[in-house]
Amino acid sequence: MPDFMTDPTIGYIVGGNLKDTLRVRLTVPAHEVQEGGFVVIASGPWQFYGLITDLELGATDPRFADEQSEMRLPRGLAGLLHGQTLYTNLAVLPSLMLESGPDLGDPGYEAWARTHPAGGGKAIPVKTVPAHHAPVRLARAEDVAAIFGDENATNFRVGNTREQGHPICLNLEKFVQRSSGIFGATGTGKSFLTRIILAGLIHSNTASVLIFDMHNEYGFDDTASDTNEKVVGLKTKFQSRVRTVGLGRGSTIRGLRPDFDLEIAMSDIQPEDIELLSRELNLKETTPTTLDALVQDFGRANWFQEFKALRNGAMIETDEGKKIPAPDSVAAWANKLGVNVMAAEGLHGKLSRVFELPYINEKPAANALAEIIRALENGQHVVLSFGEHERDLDYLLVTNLLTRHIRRHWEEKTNAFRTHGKQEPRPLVIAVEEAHKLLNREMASQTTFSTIAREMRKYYVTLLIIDQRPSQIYDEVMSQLGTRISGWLGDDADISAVLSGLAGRDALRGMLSRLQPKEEVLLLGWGVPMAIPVRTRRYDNQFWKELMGIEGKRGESQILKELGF
Amino acid sequence: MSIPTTHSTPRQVEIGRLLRASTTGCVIGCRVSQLDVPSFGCMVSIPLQPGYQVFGLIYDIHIDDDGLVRQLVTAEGVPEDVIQDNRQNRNVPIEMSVLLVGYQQGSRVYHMIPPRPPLTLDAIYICSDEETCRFCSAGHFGYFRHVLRAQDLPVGELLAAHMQNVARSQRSHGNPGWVEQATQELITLLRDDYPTLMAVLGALGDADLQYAE
Amino acid sequence: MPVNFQSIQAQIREMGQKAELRERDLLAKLRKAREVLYTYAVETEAVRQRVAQAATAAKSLRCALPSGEPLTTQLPTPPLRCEYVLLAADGSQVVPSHHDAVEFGVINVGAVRFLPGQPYAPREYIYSELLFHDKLYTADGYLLTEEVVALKRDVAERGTLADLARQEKLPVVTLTDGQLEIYGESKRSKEFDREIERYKNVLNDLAAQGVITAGYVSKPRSDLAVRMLDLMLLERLEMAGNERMRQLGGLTDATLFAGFRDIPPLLAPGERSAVFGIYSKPNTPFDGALAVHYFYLNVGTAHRPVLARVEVPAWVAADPALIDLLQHALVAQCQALGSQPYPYALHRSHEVAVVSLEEKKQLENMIMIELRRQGAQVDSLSEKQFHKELQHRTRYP
Repeated sequence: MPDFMTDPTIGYIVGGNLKDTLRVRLTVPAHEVQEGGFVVIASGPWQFYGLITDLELGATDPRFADEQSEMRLPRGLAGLLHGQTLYTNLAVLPSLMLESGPDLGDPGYEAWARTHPAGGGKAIPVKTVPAHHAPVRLARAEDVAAIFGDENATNFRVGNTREQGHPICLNLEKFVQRSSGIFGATGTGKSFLTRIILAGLIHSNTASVLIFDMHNEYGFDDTASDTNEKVVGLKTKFQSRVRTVGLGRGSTIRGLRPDFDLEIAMSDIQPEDIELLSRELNLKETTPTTLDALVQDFGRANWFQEFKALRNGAMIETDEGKKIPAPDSVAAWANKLGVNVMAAEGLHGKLSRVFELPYINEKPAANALAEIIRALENGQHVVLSFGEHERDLDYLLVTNLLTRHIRRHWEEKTNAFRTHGKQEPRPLVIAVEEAHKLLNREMASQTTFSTIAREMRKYYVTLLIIDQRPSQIYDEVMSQLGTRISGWLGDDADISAVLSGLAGRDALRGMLSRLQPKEEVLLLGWGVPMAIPVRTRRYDNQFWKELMGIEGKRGESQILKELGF
Repeated sequence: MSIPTTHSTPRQVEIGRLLRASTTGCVIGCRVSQLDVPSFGCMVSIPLQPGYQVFGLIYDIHIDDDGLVRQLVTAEGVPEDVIQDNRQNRNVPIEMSVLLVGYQQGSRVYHMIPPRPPLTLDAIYICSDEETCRFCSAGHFGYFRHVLRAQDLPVGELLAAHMQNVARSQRSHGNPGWVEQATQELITLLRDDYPTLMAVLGALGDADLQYAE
Repeated sequence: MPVNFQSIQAQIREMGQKAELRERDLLAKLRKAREVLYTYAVETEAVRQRVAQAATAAKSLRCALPSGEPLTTQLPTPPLRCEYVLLAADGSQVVPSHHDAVEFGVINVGAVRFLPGQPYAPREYIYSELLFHDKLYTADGYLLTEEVVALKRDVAERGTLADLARQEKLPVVTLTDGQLEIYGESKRSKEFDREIERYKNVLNDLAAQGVITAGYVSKPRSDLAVRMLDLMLLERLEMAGNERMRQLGGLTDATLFAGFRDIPPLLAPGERSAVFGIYSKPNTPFDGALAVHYFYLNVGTAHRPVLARVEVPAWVAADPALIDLLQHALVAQCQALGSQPYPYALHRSHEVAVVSLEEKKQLENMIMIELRRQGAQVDSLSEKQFHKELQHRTRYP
């Protein structure tokens, strides 16, 4: 039985509809509730769960509001008058309903309990509305738990409700089934939240994680840009379970040597990797034609190396004293293949930036690409730090190339699993920072990322995209995102992008724009039972202490065993 | 020797007898010597038969004049014996108008107009604190209907005087929340009648009813 | 039918024309009377002799008689020297009428007891007596006359005062409205004489108790003092008793003391005149200690003198202390009623005593119900009375 004193109702239903919001007459002072509050409405055999999305002041007669009757009447009396004539209505966005059955003392309880041995069962999206005057109360910890589950190895606590601090958990198994996104304007604590989520994923061992760490933040310890405090890296905490990879031979990240270096063999570079860089390199429309000719002439494995070897603009003098392109020149090759010389030379010139990349070698020292894939397959997690190669060119080229390989590999493994009953591929999450660079409208069709986003978990690979400008991301990709975790966003287009494809957009829009700039996020999307604002956990020693205290899905020793130690 | 006090059956104070009545109200007459007890807003009861009594609120006390009184006021200084004569001997009876607000049948209190009015010369008593509390706490202030319906009455003043009386009784009978409940009910009933509500609240404000702040 | 206004109009005009003449005549008479009054102010013995001489000529002479105080005496209200009780009584009566359904009479006496100046409400008393059956008829078998019923009332009034006074310890002043003296020679009957005897017995009782007894006459029409002055103007004594020979005829005592037009009042507010006796033919029922005396009292204001005549028995008149107390009590009582001075106690006893028509009807009903209950035959209204009591025309709405 709820204790009336510790669990007072805050109001009762006075109207509303299923499509928009329910109206609740507030019976406690307005300052005791806030937008985003998680409320429970008991009506008949159902409990409804919803969010406060708005508060509105009202008066039964405008004169009661206009007249400052507290000046005319004793305070207590004016209080009583205002209590009845001035009111606050809440707008509550109903999200879920859960069958709670008749009361314990009700004659129908026995029968209900027989047909519902496990109690109320699962919360389902609202399909009806609570009755008039149904009491509304703020959610208790067990209400939140009934919806978001209790904290355990795979039900990861991302934070707490804003008002009462009840834990809000994210079901990581569900989280990795579809691509997801973490959004928020710059400075809203995106990267801390990402660290928290990644730590949760790694610790729970729900999936392997590949992190494209463009700014070298995640692997090793870092210093917070605003507080200058030390920020613990994932490698520091998870040690051998996290492999750090640096780009280029002999790379160092924050002065430390990664577990191994990533060098890319020239044979791995395909024409589509180049086409992806069209904008970055300002390539012409003739590029595909030229690339086709190159592949035809040199083969997919060698074209890059051969093309690089050609000399651009090299001339020789004939016996007649006429200057003609040298046989190893681009022009000579173009003429031979009947390709437009200007186009070929232009492409060669523009590709010179790629040719010069130090981490692209003819024969890398080790097959780092295979190493990464093996690590991920074995349940380890990889942080690829770009080191000093922080240009967009590096990021676009490497992430796309790597992802393509990985996906192909997972695709093969999946097919083998499905057709030949081989081992099931391990789920993989690829975390992508600055995602809009890879998933904008122009590039989305060309990159592997958009394919992954659309495929969901078909091949066991999903994305975790991290971005401050969700509006820049191709909306088809955005709408496929299952779980969305968004911090404060200032731009209307960004807000709309985050909310695309979700019910109750209008109600949530205001909430999103009024989040605290730090440590508050709105959790929403397919991956969570219902949208809810959350005060996120702090990424600090306390976090790690709590996290490490919870036993992972598979024990540490078991993981080590799997890894062959 | 001390006399043991009892709250259960305080002696009832008779204040007069019925002169005329209708279903909604009655007029009672009393002697001047009885006048110091009843006051405006006082609750009275009229027992009609065992187990059946009618309750009312005093809403008017009339003191009539006549030719002699008008003549007396022209004199320079009225002698004290003449004043007393006119107060005590000549204003008989003093008339009090009572609004009927409910009745009690057996142990049940009804906030409805009594089925039949009291009869000529029925005795009228001031309600004891206990009776007042029992009547006013029964049901949910249904008897306010009768007061609010009577448009010719000084409704605000009557309610303020009534609540001042009852609040005292309720407090001493362990129900200090009564005033607030009653006030809330009035606000609910009058929410859509702004002028009346403000008049009533103004009167309640002056009645110093000690609302919790 | 309404009054014939046309024929009465001329008479009203004539009345107005004569008014001025009459006023001038009255003023002349008043001047003359005042002259005589001043002339004989202290020669009261001479006046007494004159009255005695005139009486020999006029057998039915009736006029004032100086008591010893100068004729122009004017005495202000004396201060109060002791506490006293004021008892006032008034009566009303229902005179039996054979037009009514049942014949009955009622004597109703209201009395009020005051402790003047004390902050106590006065006590009210009421005594009612029903006259029915034998009590309604004379020995000769006639229905009691109005006079007899009125006299019975007077007796009851004064009897009530005597009974109440007996319970008092303080000095008592008793008041009734009207004269103390009773006439009625013209309608003498056995019943009347018997009631006169009872009346005198009560007065004697009051005298024996030493209770001040007074009758208060408002707006007095009496002219006994003027008649006395008239005697002084007579040239030939044998002319006394001849109305036509009177030089001051038409002038009342009240006017004499109150003044008229530019002739100022003789008595200032609160002042009383000299006490006069009454010369009356021998064998009057009131003589000796009960012989009626009177004085005039101005209970009005400086702007508006209001003269009242106060009658007392001889034994009261003889004691200046009693007269002082009476004067004080009356002035105080009259002042209470402001612009219309009249003893408050008398008005109140009247209020208590009065039997309204409605009350009479109610009484009649009660009697009829009782009679019917006892199986007696009840008569009905006379036909005349029935028609008189028909409802008047009513008006819409």
